[in-house]
Formats: sequence, structure tokens, C-alpha cells
Amino acid sequence: MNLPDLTVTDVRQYVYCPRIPYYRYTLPLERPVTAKMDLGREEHESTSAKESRRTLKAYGIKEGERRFGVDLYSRHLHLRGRIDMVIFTRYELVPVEYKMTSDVGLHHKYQLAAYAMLAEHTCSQTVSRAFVYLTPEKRAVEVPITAAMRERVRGVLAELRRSVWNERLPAPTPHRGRCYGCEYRRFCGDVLAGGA
Amino acid sequence: MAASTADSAATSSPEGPEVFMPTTEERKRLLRGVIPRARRLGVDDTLRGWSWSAPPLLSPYEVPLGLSEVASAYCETGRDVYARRVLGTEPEPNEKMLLGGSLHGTLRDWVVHAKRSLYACGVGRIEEALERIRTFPAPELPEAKTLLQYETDAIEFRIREAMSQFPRIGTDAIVAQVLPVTLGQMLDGAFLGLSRRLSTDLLNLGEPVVLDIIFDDEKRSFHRLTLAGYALVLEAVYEFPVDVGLTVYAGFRDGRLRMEREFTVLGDEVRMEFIEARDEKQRMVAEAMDPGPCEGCEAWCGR
Repeated sequence: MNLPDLTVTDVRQYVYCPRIPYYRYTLPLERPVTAKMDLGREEHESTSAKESRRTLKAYGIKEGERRFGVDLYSRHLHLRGRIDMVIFTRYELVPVEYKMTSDVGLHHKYQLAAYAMLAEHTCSQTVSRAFVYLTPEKRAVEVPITAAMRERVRGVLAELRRSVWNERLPAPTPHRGRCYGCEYRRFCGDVLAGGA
Repeated sequence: MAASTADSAATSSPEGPEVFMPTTEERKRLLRGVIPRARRLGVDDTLRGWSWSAPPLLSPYEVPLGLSEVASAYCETGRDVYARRVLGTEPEPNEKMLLGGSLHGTLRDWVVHAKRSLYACGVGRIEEALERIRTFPAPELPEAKTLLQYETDAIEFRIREAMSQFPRIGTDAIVAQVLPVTLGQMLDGAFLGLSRRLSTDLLNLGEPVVLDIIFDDEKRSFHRLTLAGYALVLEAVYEFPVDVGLTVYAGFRDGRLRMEREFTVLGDEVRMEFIEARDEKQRMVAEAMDPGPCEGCEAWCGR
């Protein structure tokens, strides 16, 4: 079976709501862009520019080389992604993702795990931790990359491929509050947004 | 999903003091490895049992399944739950289930007997307590005999060890020291949309540990879901964190007991997996969706 390449964004979105990547792959639509997404992109660009002038103190790392906007690909996982920053030290690779939020959600955690796996495949070096840089708080949160997280990412990729391949609509996120700002809200006729 | 290797510490322990009690090496691994790792990794607050009133823990269906119905995947498609809950089929226990049930029952009776003997005699008459413990009626089942012989020898060692280490130990303290287990703790699973009469085993190693003793079965990736489910229910009922679970695999060969204990960090992933299994199975029952039989389905299930 030829496996289509998936992206790290698919992993994050699947954990946020499994229907988002499903719609992206099965509906012949141009993806609508919400105001929130535009704002996020602008913030990302400005953070990258500022980050290049900072030290690595926020990550508790003394010395390392920073590379921005690194493209990663794994033929083994059929997964690709572009990470905001990777810190290369003598001993480790540390992926960093900027987020315009005040806390780290589960979807961010698994996005980082996916980046970590990709970085390992691309750079042939082990990743044991990653960071989310919370831009509003100017704070870096360390996320340990565990075997269970890697397993979860593999599970998400397999489940996503299965649902797209079989055109089987996955269950929606149980967090109905997320449906309000969702660009695909009008496609989920069976979901009553705002309920529990 | 396969069992994770880094987040579970499997150890072989043919000389463990009791079925559920870790050896010195296992205890060290638990205290220096598993528990610190669980604390460092943490658990997302939305996946703590006390967050039961909000998604993702909030049960979307009013189908109070038993915890084992959710966690068990012996029937790969989950048709056993469909057959029982939708078709009203009465399950026919297989040989392994009968053996497991019988050994669990024997072990529970023995623990009560041992605790009762210790309380009745007190530390002042410890030899008499040991004599009493040995008077537990020998079961007919050879596996149960082997198990109890092992337990009786092990507890004698544990008691003598505790008495020599702490000469002024009190009666209640020695019971807590040599038998820090609660078998069959009753729990209301309604917070998580589960049965209101759940029962679990607990081990107190300075930190509450959910205990699952599995007789005569190989390791399976879904066994840890049982631990996660009970941890979630315990957190919902008592509001204290439960971060570690212990699965004991006990088997019998040539009249000897063989054991392997596996500690599991009850992190985000295994909790999510449990909740996803709950939602899927409850939906299957609520909407009467037949998932179809699996390969090697039991006769009653595939009917």
C-alpha cells in the first residue's frame, strides 16, 4: 500500500480534533483561513526574528547552534514538517516550537513528539526533550519525549491514514468549546457546538 | 497499540516475598526510577480523574460499563461487550477465566485470614499468629495450593524480617508492613460513566499503586488500560493523584510459581487510550452498532 505523506500539523490537529485532518484530506476544498490563523502566522514570524537575538538561557542550555525553520522528513514514517527552531548542541538535538498561548495543550505535546521523531530520522541523533516557547509569557516549557508519546504519535498516524483511506469519519473532539472557532464547523452536522 | 517499553519497567522476580510485593531491586527501581519519572512527566490536568465533569473525561453516553469491559481487548472488535449489553447474551467463562477467578478468590481469602491471624494474636504472640496463618485450609486446585504455599512461606519471612528490624513494632504497623494491600476496594465508577460497583486491588508502597494480578496469561498491551481506568476512578472518588500501576503476571509450571511484575507510569497516553476505548465501546452499545466478530471469538460472543 502506498502511504501518503502526512504532516506534523496533521498530528497536532488530530489530537485537537480528529475530524480536522480528515476533512482536509477528504474534502476537495480550499482550506478556509480564520482570523486566528492569520494572527498566529504573524506572531510566529516576529518571534523568530526576536529569538535570533536572544541567548539560550530560556532553555537552560549554555552552548548550541540555533537553526530556524528547519524542514524535516522521514521516509520511514511518511511524515514531514517544518519546525520553528532546532538547537544543536554537542550532545543533543532540541526541537523548539513557538506558541501564542499561555499553556501547553496535549495537541502541542504530541506535535513536539512528532517533530522529535522527525528530527531523529533526519539528523540521526536522539531527542529526549523538546520545548514549547510560550510567546505571550516569554517562557519556555520543557516537554520530555517518552516512548509512550512516540507510540501515541505512531498510533495517530495509523488511525489518521485508516480513516482517510476508508473514508470513515472519526468521532469529533469531546471538547465542544473548540468547535466555535473551527474552520470546518459547518461540516459537522452531527455536533452540537457549545454542549458538553 | 503496543505496550511502551520506556514507560514501563518490567522485572523478573522469581524470589519475590509475595505475589504483589516488589523485591528489593524492584522497589529500588520503583522509588528511584518509575515514581520520579512519573512525577517529572506529570499528567495533563484534563486527564486527572477529578476533572471528570469536563471533556475529555466527561462520558458522552449513559452506558455504565464495567471497567474490564472497557479495558479488555481479548475480543479485538469488542463484540463481547455488544453481545452482552445489546444482545443480552450470557457470557460463558472459559478455562482461563475460571482458573483466574478461583485463584483471585483464594488469594483474597488468604489475605483476610493472614491479617485476621495477626490482629487476633498481636505482635506479643507472633509465633502463634504464624501457626494460625499456616492453618488456612488447603485448596483442592493444585495451582491454588502452590500459590498459598508460596504466600505462607513468604509472609513468615516478611514477619520475621520486620520483627528483627523493628523490635518495638505494633500490631497494626506490622500488618501494614507485611501486607500493605487492599484487595477488592469498592469504587463508584459513575463519575467516569462506568459501573457504580467497581472493585480494584491496591498496594500501598508509600504512594498508592493500582494492582492487577493476572494469572496464567501472557503480557498484552491492553492490560495497562485496566490500571489507567482504576487510577482515573480513584482520582475521581478520592481526588488524590495515582501515577503508578503494577501488573503482576503469575503463572505455574512444574508445580512452581513463576512471576513477573511490571510497573507502569500512568501518564497521558495510557489515560487517553482508556478514555477513547470507553467512548468507543459506550457508543457501540448506545447506538447498537454491531462491530462484527473477531478472529478466535468465543462461541457465545460470535453468535
